[in-house]
Order: sequence, then structure tokens, then C-alpha cells
Amino acid sequence: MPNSNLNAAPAATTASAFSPQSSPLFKMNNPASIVKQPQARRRYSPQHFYQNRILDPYVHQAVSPITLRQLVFFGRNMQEDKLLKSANYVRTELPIRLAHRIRDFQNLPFIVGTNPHIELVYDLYWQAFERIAKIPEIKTLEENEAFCEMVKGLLNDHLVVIPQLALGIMECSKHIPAAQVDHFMNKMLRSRISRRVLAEQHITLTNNFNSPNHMMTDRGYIGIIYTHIKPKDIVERTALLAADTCRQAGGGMAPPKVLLDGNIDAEFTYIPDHIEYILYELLKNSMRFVMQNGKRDPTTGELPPIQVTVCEGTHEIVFRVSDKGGGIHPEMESQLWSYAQSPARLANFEKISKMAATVQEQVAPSSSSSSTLTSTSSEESDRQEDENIILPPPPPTNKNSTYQSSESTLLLDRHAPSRAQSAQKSSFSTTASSPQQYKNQSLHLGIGLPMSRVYAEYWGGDLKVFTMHGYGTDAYAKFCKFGNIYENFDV
Amino acid sequence: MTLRSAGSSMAITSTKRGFLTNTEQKEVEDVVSFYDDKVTQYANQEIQTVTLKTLLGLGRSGSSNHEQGTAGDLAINLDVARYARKELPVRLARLIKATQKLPFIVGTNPYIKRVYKLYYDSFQSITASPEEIRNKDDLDRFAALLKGLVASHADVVPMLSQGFLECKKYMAKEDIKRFLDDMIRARIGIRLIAEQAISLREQRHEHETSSVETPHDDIVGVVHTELRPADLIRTCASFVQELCDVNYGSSPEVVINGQTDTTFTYVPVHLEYILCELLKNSVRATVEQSQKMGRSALNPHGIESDRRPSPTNYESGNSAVIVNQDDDQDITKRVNDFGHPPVEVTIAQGEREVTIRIRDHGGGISQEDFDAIFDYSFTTVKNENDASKDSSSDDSPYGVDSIFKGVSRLAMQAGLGGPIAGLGFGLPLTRIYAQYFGGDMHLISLQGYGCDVFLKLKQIDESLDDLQI
Repeated sequence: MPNSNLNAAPAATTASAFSPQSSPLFKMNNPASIVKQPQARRRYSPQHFYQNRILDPYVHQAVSPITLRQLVFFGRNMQEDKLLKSANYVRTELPIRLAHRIRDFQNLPFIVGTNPHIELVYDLYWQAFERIAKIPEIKTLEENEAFCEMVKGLLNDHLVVIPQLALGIMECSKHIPAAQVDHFMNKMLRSRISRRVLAEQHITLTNNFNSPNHMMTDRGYIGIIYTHIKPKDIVERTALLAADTCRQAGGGMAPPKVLLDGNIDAEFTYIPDHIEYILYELLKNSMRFVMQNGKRDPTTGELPPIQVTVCEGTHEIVFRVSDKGGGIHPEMESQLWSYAQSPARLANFEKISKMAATVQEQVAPSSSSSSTLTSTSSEESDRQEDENIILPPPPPTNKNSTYQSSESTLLLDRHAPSRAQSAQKSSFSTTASSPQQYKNQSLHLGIGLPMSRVYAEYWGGDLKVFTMHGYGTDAYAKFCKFGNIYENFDV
Repeated sequence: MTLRSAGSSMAITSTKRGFLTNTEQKEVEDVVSFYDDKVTQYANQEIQTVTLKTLLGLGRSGSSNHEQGTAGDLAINLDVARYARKELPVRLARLIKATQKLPFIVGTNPYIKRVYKLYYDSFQSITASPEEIRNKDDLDRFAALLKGLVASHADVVPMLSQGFLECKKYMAKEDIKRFLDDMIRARIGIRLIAEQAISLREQRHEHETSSVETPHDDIVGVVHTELRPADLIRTCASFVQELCDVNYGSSPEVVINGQTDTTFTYVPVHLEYILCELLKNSVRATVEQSQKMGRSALNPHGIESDRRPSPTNYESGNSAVIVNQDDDQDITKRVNDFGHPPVEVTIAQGEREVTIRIRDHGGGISQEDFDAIFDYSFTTVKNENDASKDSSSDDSPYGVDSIFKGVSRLAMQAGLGGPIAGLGFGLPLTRIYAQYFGGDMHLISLQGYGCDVFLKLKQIDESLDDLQI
């Protein structure tokens, strides 16, 4: 059953690939029996059907969605008891959310459920569910540490979910209509974001609590949330990354410039990762189209620039990304938001084994093979030593002063000796310098837009794309400013 | 109980009700009898769906064959006229029937009744005219009849607007919307057929009576095969700017860019109407936003802005991004002497369609209003009983106040954009027009900044042959 592609995973990954019986995860598969059954037969055994009962109480429980604001207020002034409260909230909430999705899997047509990729994800979810559900109430900081380690491991193991799901669902496209495919994928992705937000937030809070560096919180970093996001900074960051990607993919051809206007100094609270993922996708798309179709200026020879406008309203912020890349072809336009893909793209999915769906993943390593990007916005102390932190900037105690204050823009020293190794300790970092990451960013998977939309809609925003055939495309990414919208995922 | 008795028992005492005069009031009371079967007869007939091809193909070959002599032309004209003679009563009958299905109380509203009577009378006139159209005289007579009828229907939309405003509490919003959507679409179709017959006749007549070869080879009745959106935009823009100047004392520039040489086949009056509506909204919003923000030539970002004065362009540390906020070189941004940033209209030519994007810095639409802008909105009448108030939605910056309304109505009736004054109906009507030939219209509000409108118009060509009118 284990997909052969996974076994060929690069050496940088450790515990993610499936090696059957020897994997410690496997040992958790059969709680009621100490006899090791071949994994292939586990799911079809009568035992599995009857064991499913343990899912019921969780499926019947309601999820407790939260708002960004609640996360922020909770995360400030962290104390031990609050931290434990957070741990227990995650401990109880994750299995509920997992259970709901597992039930969704179980509701898929049987034939779809037998697809090996789908099975793999299903099993991952089951294992995660069982492991977390078994944990008793967390009462001490040590127990919390163990809990965090476990969750980190799970997050890491689940990096295969997106490509596997996508692959599996595409292979099954003849069994289920496209609309259902999209519906299922959107649901899964929303839930995935929700679990990761919860988990990553708690782990980051734990790290901050442990590290002597409480200044991060004071400066507005609350776990993975940042309360002083400046559109200008975020656009500059992502434009740089997108330009790099496109330059590499274009064989050295210079990508178009990005112009920025509007309310660029507006500030708001959000999870920078989410915004960056979306902006990166949009800018990358725009650049790609312009590089392919843009008409160069007759005097300067330059490609038409991409215009990003920041629009600040009372409740929302919109980033408008406008290009003159010739527009999206009508046939592609109808498939813009769909996960069901062409066979060529299907093949691309088989080439990647892991996908975190973060910006960090996408960055092209520089020639010295140092990773340019390590962490998400968390501030684990070991990761602070990394040279090339993109976001957010490390606190002033960081001895790597390639970084100035957060007001000025990023000066990125990508050729500094790599601290990539320490990055690997972190479960969030997926940009260990492995060939895998090169592949991720140069492959055209075609699901960037629907995924971006799931991210955008997560806290009450949205993503719209309008094209003018023969001229260019405008994309509008809207985010709520006040963080008082509840998480948008299906119960 | 017949509608007639209902009408007379509702004798309206006030003589100054909106814009119905006394005589018109009397006419309203004299409404069709319940027992008249003719309408039902016609309504039950099959609508011969006219396809675009039919409507144009005839006309098309007519205009290109003009060198064959007037005989050929006449034959084409006669065909179209005969077709109109046959088809119009059927469509009118259906429309009348739909109106008859409205709730009784709504039907007694004087405005709705007036519209109903208009349609009914038109129906009677056409069915009374000779079925045979054999020669030029018959054609001329019929064309004149149609022309008169079309003119008499000029105020239908404002009347409906007023009528439904007054009936707001008697019908659910969705029902009103459905009725009006259907009615307006039917009306567009009816006018298209009628106008095509009229125009063709006029074209032919003009060609006959003038010694100079008509320069309008590219015009086929109501369709223009070489329509240049840029020209139309310019015309509508100056019209709208004038209106704005009259009303506010200043107006923004309208910048036209993109593929300005684009030409395509379309119905100019439709496009004219759409452009006027959208530009009117943008222009008015820009001016009001400037007032709100205290924008001026010296203060392009407004008085309250806490924006730090930034250099015109500066490159950030990485060379990928340039901040071009105060770019005086960029005419799509530069405020004019009145402090208004321009309205930017971009034209794009696709393979089968033309896209027009209109961007403004009018401050956008708030979330609450946004959901209502496509309603046939009859909002914010302060006093529910005081139905003589405007039907416009006064609190939205995209509504129209009374001065604007009066002036624009006059101007609209002067022929520009056709005799349709989309007052309070503006956006829903615009969208229906945009969608009529398979196009579409999308509006994005960037609240606090401005609005972007995307107008997609399909080229009227062979690919639309089967499109039913």
C-alpha cells in the first residue's frame, strides 16, 4: 500500500516516509491488538469497522472556532497556567476537528477510499487522531513539552497530505464529479489550516515562553500572529521571493518590476504566513504571464511592471495585484479555481512528496545552497541564529545583524553561511536544502489559486480574480482588519 | 371586479403625482377589460425566437447589397418589417400577461397601471395595423407607427421605478426583482426588433434620398460593425463630466488607455447606456470622496491622511519593488486642478470579446450598501407614506440626488444613451444590458479606496448566431 514514490523520498526527510512495520507510528495502529497486522489488511478488517465507534463521541462534539483576536488576547502575557490551558485546548480541539474530517473520508465513495493515496492520508489522520485522543490532561510544563514534540512530529509527518490528497482525488476524478472534488478538497484544506493554526500557535507560544525572549510578544509577535503587519513590508518580501522564483524558472530572464501604491503604511493584525502565501502565488502568476506575454516597452526594453495597490477600508484591507500579462485564456479561466487538473499536472504532483503550502517552501536556494528561508514567524531560539530569516525580523539580540529594524525593508544576505541545519530541527521549516524543494517551486502544480482562496477565506476574507483577455489580469485579496471573524471551516 | 372599476374607485385626487399629468391620470383609469381575449390569444402563440442572425443577417446583407439597387434593399426591409409585425404582438402579449399576474393591489398603482396601459395600447395598435406589408408605403407607415410607439415608451423604466417603490410593502423583494428582470429583458428584445425595423427603413430612406453614398456602411440598423469603444467612452465621458460640473462645480478627468484602437460589432445604444451609467457613478463618487477627504491639487491624499510625505518614487532595498505612490508622471493617478484623481477606463480586445475596465478613486462602497446595489433599490424613503420622494437610494454615494436626476433625465431623453433614464435602476439595468448578448459585468468595491468595474462584451458575430433575443 505505501506509495512507492514516498519510499524514494530524499534523504533529508526522516520520519515521514512510510516504512511499514518498523515505523513507530505503525505500532500505534492497532491499539486493541498487539499482533502486528500487515497494514494493507488493517482497513478492511472487521476490527476497523467496529473500532470506528471511538470516533463517534468526537464527531458529535461541536468544534469551537476561534477568532484571531481571541488568539491575540490569549497569547499576550503568557503565564504557566495559560500555557497549560492552551495546551489542553489544542489537545481537545484537534481530535474533534480530525474526527470530522475522518468521517468525511469515510463518506467518500468506497472506490475512492481504496485509492492508495487517499488511504495513506486517511491512515495518517487516524493515527494522529488516536495518538492525540489518548493523551490525558496536561498538567505540567514537562507534559506540555512532550505534547509539543509529539504534535510537531505529526505536523511534519502530515506534510505529505496535500500532494497525496491532490493526487488521489485527481486519480479518482472519474468516480466523482468535479464539483464534488473541489468541495472535498476545499473542506480538507480549510480544516488543515485550522489544525495547523492551532498547533503552530501553541507550539510557538510554548517556545516563546521557554525562551528568555519575551520581547517578541512586546513587539507584536504573538505566536504566529503579528499585530503590526505593514502591507509595504509584506509586499516587498513576497515580491522578492516571487521574482527569484521566476528568474530561476525563466532561465535567468529578468522578471518584471513590481510597483506599489495605495495605503502602504496601513497596519493590521494577521498571520503573515497566510498573506504571504497568497501574495506570493498572485505575484508569481502575474510575473509568469508577463514574462510570457508582456509587450516590452519600445524605448527601455522593459517588461510592463506589475502594479500592487493596497486599499484600506474601515474593516478590511485589499491587495490588488494588476498585471499586463495578456490575460487568462478563456479555457483556463473556467478551470481557475478547480483542483481537477490536466494529466500533465497530475504527473507533476507525483514528483513531489511533501508540501507545506507555505511561502517558505517555495523559495529558491541560492547558489551556495544555503536555504534562504527558514522559519515561519515563530521565534524558536535556535532558529533565531539563522542568517536568513525573512519574516518577521528577529529581535535585536540576534547576532546576525544582516537584518535591520522591521521598519526598513529586508536586506537579505543570501550568501551567508547556511544555518540550514538548525532549521531542520524545526518542524515548520521545510526548506532544508534538498532537491525536493527545488522541484516544488519549479513545478507547475496548478492549485495555487484555489489554495490561496482557502487561505484568504479562512478569517473572513476572499480572493477574486478578473481577467481582461488580450490585456492582463487583476487579482483582489481581501483580509479583515480587526480579527473578529471566526475561523471559516466546515463543521 | 374589473380593473376599470377598480381604477375609477381609486380616483386620484392629487394632480401632481410624480410626473403624471391630469390627462394621463384619466387615461390610467380607463383600463383594459377583464374580458378581452385577444391578449390571451396572442400570448399563447409561440414566440418565434429571433436569433441575432435573423435580425442582423437580413439587415447585414441589405446594407452590403446596396449597390444592387434599392430593390434588394427594399426586400430586406420588408422582411424585417413583416417579421416585426408578426413577432411584436406575441411578445407584447406575453409581457402584458406577466403584468396581469402581479398582485392586484400592485396593479392598481397608477404608475404600474400606466405602463400596463402603454403596453396594451401598443399591442392594440400593432395588431390593428395591416398584416400585409407589401410595398414601400406600407413599410413607411408601419415604421412610423413603430417609431411613435417606441417614443411613447420612453418613460417606462422611471415609471416602473416609481411604481414599485410605492408598492414596496406589497411584494417581496425577490419577486419584484424577478418580475423586473424579466420585464426589462423582454423590453430590450422588443425594442431591438422594433428599432431594427425602424433603423433599416431610415437607412434605406436616407440612402435613397441622398445623392451622396452613405458613409455608414458599417452600420446595420441598430448594430455597428466597426464600433470604437474609445470614441463612445469619450462621448459619454464628456456628457457625464458636464453633468457633474453642473451639479458639483468640478469633475475628474477620464483617462482612456489599453488597446484604444479596438473596434468590434455591437449595439451602440446599449453600450452608450452602460457607459453613461458606470461613468456617472464613478465620476460622482470621485467628487464626493474628494469632498469627504479634503482632496485638493496640493493635497492629493486628503487632509486627514497621516501619510508621511514620501519621495515620488523610491526603490526599496531589494530591486524587485518600487513604491510609486505619488507618481506625478502617471496620468492614471495624477489629481487634476480640482484635486480629483482621474477615472481610468481600460480597453482590451480579446479573441471574441471586448473587456472594458473602469477604475475610480471614489472611496468604494461599504459592505452594507454593497449587497443592495443590484437591487431595484427603493431605499431610504424617509417617510413611507410620502411616496412622492425620489426613488433613488440617497445614502449610497452611488445613488442619484434630485438635481442630478432631473438634469440627467432631460439629457437622457435627448437621445443620448437612448430614452432610458436609469435612475435608481442604474446598476441592475446596466448588468442586464451587459448580459444581454452573453456578456457580463462585475463590480469590485475597494472600500476606502474606489471601485473597479469589469465589463465583458461579446462580439456580435457568427458565433452568437444562435443567441436568442
